[in-house]
Amino acid sequence: MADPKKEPKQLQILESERQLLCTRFSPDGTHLIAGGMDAQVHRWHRAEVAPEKEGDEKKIEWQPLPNLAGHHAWVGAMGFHPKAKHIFTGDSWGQLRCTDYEGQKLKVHWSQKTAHDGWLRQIAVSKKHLATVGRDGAVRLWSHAGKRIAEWKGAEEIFAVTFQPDGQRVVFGDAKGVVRVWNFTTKIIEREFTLNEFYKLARIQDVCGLTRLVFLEDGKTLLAVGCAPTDGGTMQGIPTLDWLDYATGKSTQRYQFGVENDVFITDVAWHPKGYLLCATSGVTGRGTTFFIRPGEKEPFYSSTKIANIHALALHPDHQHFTLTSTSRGSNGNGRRLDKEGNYSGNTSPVHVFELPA
Amino acid sequence: MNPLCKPNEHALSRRQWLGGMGGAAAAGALGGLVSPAVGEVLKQKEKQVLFIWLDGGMSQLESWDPKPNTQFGGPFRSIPTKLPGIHVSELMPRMAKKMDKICLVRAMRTQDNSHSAGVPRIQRGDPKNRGVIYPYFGSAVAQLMGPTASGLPPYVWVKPGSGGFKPTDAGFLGPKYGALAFGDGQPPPNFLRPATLSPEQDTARNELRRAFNFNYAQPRRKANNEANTYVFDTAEILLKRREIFDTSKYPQKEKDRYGNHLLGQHMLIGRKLLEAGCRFVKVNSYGWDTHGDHFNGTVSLVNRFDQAFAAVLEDLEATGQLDHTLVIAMSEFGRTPRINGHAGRDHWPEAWTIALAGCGINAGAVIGATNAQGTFVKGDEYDIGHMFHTWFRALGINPDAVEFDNGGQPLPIAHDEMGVIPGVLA
Repeated sequence: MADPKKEPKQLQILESERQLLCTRFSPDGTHLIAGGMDAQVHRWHRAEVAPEKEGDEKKIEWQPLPNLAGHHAWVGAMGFHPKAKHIFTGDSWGQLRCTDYEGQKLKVHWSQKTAHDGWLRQIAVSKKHLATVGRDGAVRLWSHAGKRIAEWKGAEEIFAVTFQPDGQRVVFGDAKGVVRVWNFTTKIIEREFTLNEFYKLARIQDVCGLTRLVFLEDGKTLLAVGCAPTDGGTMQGIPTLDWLDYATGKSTQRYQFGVENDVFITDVAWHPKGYLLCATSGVTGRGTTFFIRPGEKEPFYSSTKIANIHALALHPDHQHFTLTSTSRGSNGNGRRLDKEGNYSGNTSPVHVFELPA
Repeated sequence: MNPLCKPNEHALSRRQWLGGMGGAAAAGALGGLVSPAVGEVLKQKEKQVLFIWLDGGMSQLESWDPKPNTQFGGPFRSIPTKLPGIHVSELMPRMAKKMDKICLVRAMRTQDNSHSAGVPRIQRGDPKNRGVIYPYFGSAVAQLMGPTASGLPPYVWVKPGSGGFKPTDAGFLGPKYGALAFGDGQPPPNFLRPATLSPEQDTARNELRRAFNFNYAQPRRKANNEANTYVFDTAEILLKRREIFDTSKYPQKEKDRYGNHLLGQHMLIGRKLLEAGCRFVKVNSYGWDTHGDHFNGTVSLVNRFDQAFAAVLEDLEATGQLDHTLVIAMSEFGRTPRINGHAGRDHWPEAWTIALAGCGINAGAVIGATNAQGTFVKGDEYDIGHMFHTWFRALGINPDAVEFDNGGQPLPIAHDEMGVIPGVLA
């Protein structure tokens, strides 16, 4: 049994009317932003609430703000401007937008309606640029003002993207697990390496496991995150973390968590104290939160209390994090109506936690 | 007020989509690919069936009946088709250009939401329960129409995995009308005469086999022996067309057009079997039961179906065979509008789509509709019994007049309280 003193403490559950795909805290820590299947950008802001009893400490609460509209499909890609209080969001019809995230009257700074032909999968942001990847097999480099600067195009859908820590290269991974290092100045792919474990052809289905590429603090290690697929249809696979020596592309450590039903590590965050926070989503009803240090064989913390977690966000104070999950009883064949006789959809409760001291 | 914009505002324009693609279809078409064996069957213009079975359940929302920018619509766009006002998922670009060749029934509402009950119930036409096991559609056609003049097995099945003779499909009709399955698109392992055996030796061996079979059959059920003999004899005829299964000899261009994947190659073999004269060809694809990671999985699943389906329609049309071949593409049900926690869709018999083409079918028709959210059928609903009536009629069989004979017991060939779906037949 886990030591309650070392258990993250749940502070709040934020409700949403629809399912959410990605969640992140703003760099200044004042806002929590989520992209939804309802084509909306959902927002909450950090508020101090008067204590219930005199003498108690002020309580911090995340309170909902009006959503941002303007997308037309699933908002699953997100990144923050490094200086201004702007957010970049991308949707599954290929639109890329830059808007304010703070305040009531939110300005749309720019919008590229066809940044990609179809599903814009991820956004990465550096000090000078942002990079986007999509189902069209393209990697596109943009200025923060929305000007397209460079493009690379391949045959496979691209799922994951990040910048090299110095901002000089874009690193991206495709549906077949091929990771490429792109020098956008020379427009040359300088290196590529294939992570075979992140792809499987199951009958006629490409089963793709790569969800994220993350540079760890030293920049020498590139972490590949996702799933080693074992079957398609109802996707099965083993949640997988692959620590890669960035210089060679070779795996230095591979950690596989759980069993085939656990499927994906959907999201991770690097904690400055030297460990990774990881969230998984498996077959309906399965999900784990675990924390693991590089080099160690097992997580030092894991919990299955929250299932089907699709996003994990670490607050800039490094003391709080959120897990964006799926409502209970989310699956079921055939006609299943609610008490009022309506056919309702699922939702994504956002669980706010405090890390143990 | 709905904050979402209307789907068509963001769909690619019809002109934009079709532009530049006009010549592609014609250019890719058959041109010289028709094998000499086709001639005879084509001249006969005997009615045939291509039955494409996507096992597990294809999502109507990511294929024939998209509802983009709605609560359950999923991440994909819809695209315009050759039929003004009709959209399909962006994952079906090839079929979008062939919508004038097919008929969609978007108002299917069937009874079962499980595979184990749903697959046989659907393929047997879900008739009223009379205490007998009804035949699958393939077996029914094999019994009612028999082999074509080619003499080839009337009901063959190209599928991944194991092959062999599948008598259970035939239900009360008896094992003779079962399916001859070509597992992994290959004939049964002992189909070919070993090189070490001369034709004379083979003939002598077969005579001996017949004599043994005759003696063996005397005290046993007639139907089983009949089935054995029948299958063996028809397989012998098929042996003369063994080049069908040697895909290494197919032109690479043709293979590429169908797609270098299981469904593509099996569809191509299926077309060759139709050309050769098999009455009913079932082509099977597995792995459509996408309860998890549905949207990523669907990209390749639907795209590959789109490629293979468009190619076979193109070729059947180019040879004129589409005029006398009923083409059906379907699953046992659709998939739930609700998206589960594993980013999947579950089983949904409440509102789904079947695609039809070919003989007797009203090409370019879209029959029935679902509501704006895609959750339920709006207006008239159709069950698989209606579909069986429609298919039989398309093949020139009157389900109100023709009956099965189950050992003297007359049985309707389709649900006796249902009828043809209006608008589907030409």
